[in-house]
Amino acid sequence: MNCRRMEDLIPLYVGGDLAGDANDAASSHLSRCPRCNQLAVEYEESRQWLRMNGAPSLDTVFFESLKRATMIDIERLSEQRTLFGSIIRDWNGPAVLVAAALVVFFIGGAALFYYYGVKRSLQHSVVASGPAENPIERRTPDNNARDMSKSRNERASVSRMTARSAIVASLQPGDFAQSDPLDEPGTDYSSNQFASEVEAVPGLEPVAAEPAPDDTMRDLLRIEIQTSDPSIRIIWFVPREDEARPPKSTLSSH
Amino acid sequence: MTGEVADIALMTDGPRLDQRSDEWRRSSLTATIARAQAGDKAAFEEIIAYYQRRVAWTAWRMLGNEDDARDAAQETSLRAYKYLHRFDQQRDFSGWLYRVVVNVCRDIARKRPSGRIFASLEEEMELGHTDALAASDDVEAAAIASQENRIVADALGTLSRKEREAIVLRDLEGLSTDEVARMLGTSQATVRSQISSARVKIKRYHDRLLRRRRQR
Repeated sequence: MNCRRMEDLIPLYVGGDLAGDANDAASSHLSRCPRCNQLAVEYEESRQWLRMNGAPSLDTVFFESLKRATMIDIERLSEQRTLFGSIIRDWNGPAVLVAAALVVFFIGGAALFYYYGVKRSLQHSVVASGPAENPIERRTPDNNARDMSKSRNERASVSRMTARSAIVASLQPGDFAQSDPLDEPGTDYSSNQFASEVEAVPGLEPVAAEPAPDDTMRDLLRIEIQTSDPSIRIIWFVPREDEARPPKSTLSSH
Repeated sequence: MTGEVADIALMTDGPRLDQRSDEWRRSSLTATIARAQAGDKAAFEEIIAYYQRRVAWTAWRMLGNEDDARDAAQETSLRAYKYLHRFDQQRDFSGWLYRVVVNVCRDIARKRPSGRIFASLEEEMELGHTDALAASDDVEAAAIASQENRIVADALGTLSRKEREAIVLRDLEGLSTDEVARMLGTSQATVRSQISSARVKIKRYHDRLLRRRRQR
C-alpha cells in the first residue's frame, strides 16, 4: 500500500471503520511510514477534540424547563385527542373485524331496502296498468293487439305518468259530458261515430263500443276509451233502451 | 444496541438508575415503555427524564445552538408521545428515538430561511469568533469550555447535512456504522464515505484553528 492510498484510508482507520484486511494493511503501513503515522495522529487529535467538546454545556435549568414545557405540550395534546384518534390508536384485529362486519351489514341493508323499494314500486305500476286486472274486461282480438302495443309502452315507461295522462285522469264524468257532442239529441252512442268524435280530444283513443259482458249488465252498452297513457282507460255503460244520454260514466285507472 | 442502557444511564439526571444493573435497567425500561404505550403519562414522563439529555445533546450537535436544540428536544418528546403506540417493543427503543431526533432536526433545519445552519470557518474567522477564543486563554474554564462548544458547533457547521448526521451519530453518539446506516436509511458504504469526508473536513478545521492560535 502506498502513501497516497493510505491517506484516503486514515480517516476511517482512526475511527476503527476499516474491515479486516484493509485494517491490517493500514496498520502495517503506519508502522513503517512516519509521515503517514503523523497524519494518523493528527486525525486522532482532531477526533478527540471533537468528542471532548462535542457535549454542550446545557445546565439543569435547561433540562428542567425542557421537561416542564414538554409535559405541558403533552397535556395539551391529550386534551385534543378526539374519539376517532382513540379508535385509531387502539386499533386491533377484533376491532377491524367488528367494524368491517358493521359496514357490510349497513351497506347490505341499504342495498336490500333499495332493491325491494324499487321492486314494490314496479309491481304497483304493473298491477295498476295490467289488462288482466280489469274484472269486466273481455279478451278480444282487438284487446290482445292493443295490450301488446300497450305492454311495449309499459316496458318503456312503467311507472311514469305523463302530464297529459294526469290531466285526463283528473277529468270527471261531468266534465266530459259538458263538452261532449253526445249531449245533442239523436246521437248514436253505440256506433263508431261516438268513438271518432271522442278521438278528437287530445290524448284519448276510442277502444271499443261493445255490449256489456254479463247478464246483469246485458241491457247496457259498454264504451271504452284508451288514453295515451296505457294505465288510464275510460269506461262507461250506456242503456240500450234510453239512448238519449249516457247515464253513468266511470273513470277507470288501472 | 451494545451498552445502550449503560450509556444512557450515565447521561441521565438521577443517580438512581446508575446504581442498578444493566439487566434491571433494561427490563425496567421495557416495562416503563409498555406502561407508557398503555397511556400512563407518568411512565412517559419517566422515559423523557431518562432520554432527554441524550436527545438534547444530539439535537444540539445536529443544529448547533441551544434554542434550536431545545425546540428539537421538545418536538422529539411530543412526537414520541404521539407515535409511541406504533413502537414495536421487540425493537430497540433508543434507535427508534434517534430516528425521531434526526427527522425533527431535519425539519427544523429545513425551516430555516438560509437553508444553512452554521457559518463556515472563513466566516467565523472574519467575524472574529476564533480570535475571541484565542484571546480568552486567561478567562475562566467554564467560559472556555462554552467557547470550545461553540467552535465545535461551527466545525460541524462546515459539514453537509448528511456528513454531519453521520459523524454525530458515529463519533459523538458512539453508534456503530451499521446502526448509523439503519437510522439514516442508507448503506454502510455510504455512511463510511460520509464519515471519512467529515473527518477530513473536521481535521482541516482543527488544523486551521490550531494554526490561528499559534500565530497569536
